[in-house]
Amino acid sequence: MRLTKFDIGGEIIAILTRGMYPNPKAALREYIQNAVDAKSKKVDVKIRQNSIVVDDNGIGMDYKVLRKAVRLGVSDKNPKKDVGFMGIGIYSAYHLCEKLVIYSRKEGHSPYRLTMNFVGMKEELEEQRSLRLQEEINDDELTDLQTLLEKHIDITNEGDISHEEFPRFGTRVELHGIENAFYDEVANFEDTAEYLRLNVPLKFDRDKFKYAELIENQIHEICKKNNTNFELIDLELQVNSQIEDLYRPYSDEDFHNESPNEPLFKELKKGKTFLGVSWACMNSVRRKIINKKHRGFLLRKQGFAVGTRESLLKYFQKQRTHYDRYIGEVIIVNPNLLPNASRDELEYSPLRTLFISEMERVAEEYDLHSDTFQENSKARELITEQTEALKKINKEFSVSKNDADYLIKLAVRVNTVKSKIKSKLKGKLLEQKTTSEARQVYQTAENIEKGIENRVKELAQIKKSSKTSKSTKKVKTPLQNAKDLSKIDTVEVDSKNYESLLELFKDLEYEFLDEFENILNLIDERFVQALAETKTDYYEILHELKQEIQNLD
Amino acid sequence: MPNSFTSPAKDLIRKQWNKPLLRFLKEQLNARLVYLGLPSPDAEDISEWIDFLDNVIAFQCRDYPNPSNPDEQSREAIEQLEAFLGVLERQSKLSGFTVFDGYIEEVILKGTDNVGIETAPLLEKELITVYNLDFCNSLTSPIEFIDSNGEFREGYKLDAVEKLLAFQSQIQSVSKRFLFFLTIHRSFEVARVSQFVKDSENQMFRNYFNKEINGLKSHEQKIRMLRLYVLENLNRLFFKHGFVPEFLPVVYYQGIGDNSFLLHFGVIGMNIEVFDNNFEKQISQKLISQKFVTTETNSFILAENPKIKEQDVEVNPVDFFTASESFRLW
Repeated sequence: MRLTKFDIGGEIIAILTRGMYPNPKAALREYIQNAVDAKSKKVDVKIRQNSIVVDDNGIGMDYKVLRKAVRLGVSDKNPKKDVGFMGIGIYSAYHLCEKLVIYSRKEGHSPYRLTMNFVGMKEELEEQRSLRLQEEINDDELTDLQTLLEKHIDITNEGDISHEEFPRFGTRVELHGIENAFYDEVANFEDTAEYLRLNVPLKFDRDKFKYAELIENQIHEICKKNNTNFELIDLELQVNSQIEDLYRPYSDEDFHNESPNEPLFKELKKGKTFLGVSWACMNSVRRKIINKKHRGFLLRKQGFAVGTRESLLKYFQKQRTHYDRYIGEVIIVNPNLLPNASRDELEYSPLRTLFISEMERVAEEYDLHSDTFQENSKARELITEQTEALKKINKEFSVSKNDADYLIKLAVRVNTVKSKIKSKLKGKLLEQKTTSEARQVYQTAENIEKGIENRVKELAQIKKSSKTSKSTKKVKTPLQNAKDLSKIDTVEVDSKNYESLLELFKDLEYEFLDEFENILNLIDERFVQALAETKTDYYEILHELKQEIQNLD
Repeated sequence: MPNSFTSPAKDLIRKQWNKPLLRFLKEQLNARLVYLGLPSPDAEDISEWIDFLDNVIAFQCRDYPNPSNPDEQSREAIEQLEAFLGVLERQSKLSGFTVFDGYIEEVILKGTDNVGIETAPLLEKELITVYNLDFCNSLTSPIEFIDSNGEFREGYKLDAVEKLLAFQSQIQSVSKRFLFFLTIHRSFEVARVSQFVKDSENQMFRNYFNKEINGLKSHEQKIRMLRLYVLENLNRLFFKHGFVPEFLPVVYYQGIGDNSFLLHFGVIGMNIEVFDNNFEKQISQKLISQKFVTTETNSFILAENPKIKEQDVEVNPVDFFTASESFRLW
């Protein structure tokens, strides 16, 4: 079958661009992507009432490259090197503005100007649609794509534009006559900044995120070791009167106590096939990351987001519990592993299968790390609580040495401490330091227990013989026990008092509908509060409940 | 609406009075300057000074001299100015620009322009080094507008000046040195000037009004009263916001039309800290008894009036400033 240019109508451009770029902000991403592919280190995005500019300091384009850039669905870019390669991106603003003007200058060349008169194309197509409706023309008379583009696209020749018009190397994309709906979409600085922070390869913010430099350097190092590159850009965003340098969105404030745990790096690599690298910082406490928007992992192809932070959740067996305690990214740098056209998934390929298996392995490792952190953190809290309990018992022992009945009660309490520590020592993921401290607490508990037992025996003998006798065993004194207990590292234990069941759930970051909140308050009044005789009892019940809920993890 | 209010005299001031000052400041700061002003769609001042500028913050009304009514007025003038500045940006002559839609008084006092763009994010961060508040038109009475609470307001130009200086004073910077140009019509804020003359309790000012300028023709009296009013207010506002003003001689010239006479004030502002309390907060007798500078064909001359004894001044603004006490502390 033979096709001619008349077989592809001009309308295809509207259909393609609307389908591929449902989010108008994607146009910004597309032009920034081109800048990154042109090896830019710095990109300025300027959004003003009637124009949007994306300006870069990349290698620029000569006539030949500009000519190829206007091809639709045919890209000169190398998918192995470049992020954009579909050959559509340049048309991404078709629905959003009246005119696209690109100035570009490459070393050794004069500047060139490419003008795409989108409004002219749209008006011509609209007129034809209307004529067809009135049956004044038939389908054979519709403008074909080639004719439409030739008529409304213009590229200057070498020397037409003086150096003064665009004196530096790089590319400047200007969108003129911005559609109101598009302007409204990008006119809020924070919204646009947030989109770009998540979707383009920005640097990490060294002022706000203490591991920024470490993460950047480590990823560079891992990529270098695997003979690949990891490129980041400086980006300044202006939206009318607001101008800021943008960085990746993560900050210490996303973590509890403004203190992220040190980042963990994992390579996604099978044999010699290196897919990419992931980094993740876990929260410093067993809680979800404070900033909901940054919880979990984001998949990126180089710096460009693929999907959302929800997309990788499926690889984590522990689901939300541990996933939401991390802020991390999985950065694909393998040139053959590509995102699909709508940038929400990876394209189907054998490498994608490999990625899935590697992602599952990496997710398991992150889950295990989080499990280990959780078990040790719980153990440390228990050690602290039991150390405090022992200190109290030891103090009471030192002042109640002649009350045998009371001493027996103290012995029972020591036993409880011992059994709690013993059960914790059975944990498989305990670190050596935690184990050793738990053993130390256990040993001190035994010493106190022996001291109490000894004293009880002494008291019994005194009662029998009515005279003092020396103890038969050599045991540690309360003073020596107190000294031993003071050597144990304790941690800050969350001892917050909750005023209601609902407050407790909210602190644990559960979210309920208003209706369910009312039910929860009812359960609280009818059942939980009924269990408590005093306010202190109520606090303790809620505290215990909290621990049990946390133990469900 | 005229795109330009340029007259030969104004052109001369732009090229031979202000431009050398901008060159001087750029060289002193070793950096290109940040301009805030009312350039008009043709932006002749920006074109003339472009070698010294880096960034432009512009205010442009839609339909001079009518009050702003964005629903019914075209944005053409703003788009024209934006397009002009966009070309300069593309040509790497400017690193950036922002255009606010509306009269400067209403935009600054309201905090947003006619399309809701806020001034604070920019003015709280950007250290302005050249203000060119060229109110050279005949719009001398306050602008009427509706503020962000829906209240009717009158926007006085000097109130806007105060707010601009307040922004400048909040910026953390070791050294703040800037040029401040203010051009006003002879009939500027007539009611406030009359009130100022009537209420002034300053003995030096009273003597000046009642004795020194009393015998002059009405027009000659008025421009001297206006000069004193503006100097006194600028002096007060500069000190209030932590700046010491060095006033340059005032230029009196003819604008477009027979009845359009204008005063051009130039001030060099400096951080009060650098003066170590070594400054005079009051307007001096010497300052108010300076001769006006005026224009003649292609040069500046001193305006002579035999009926009043006034002091000669240097007609080269850079020489005037470099000979001043302030420059010693520069």
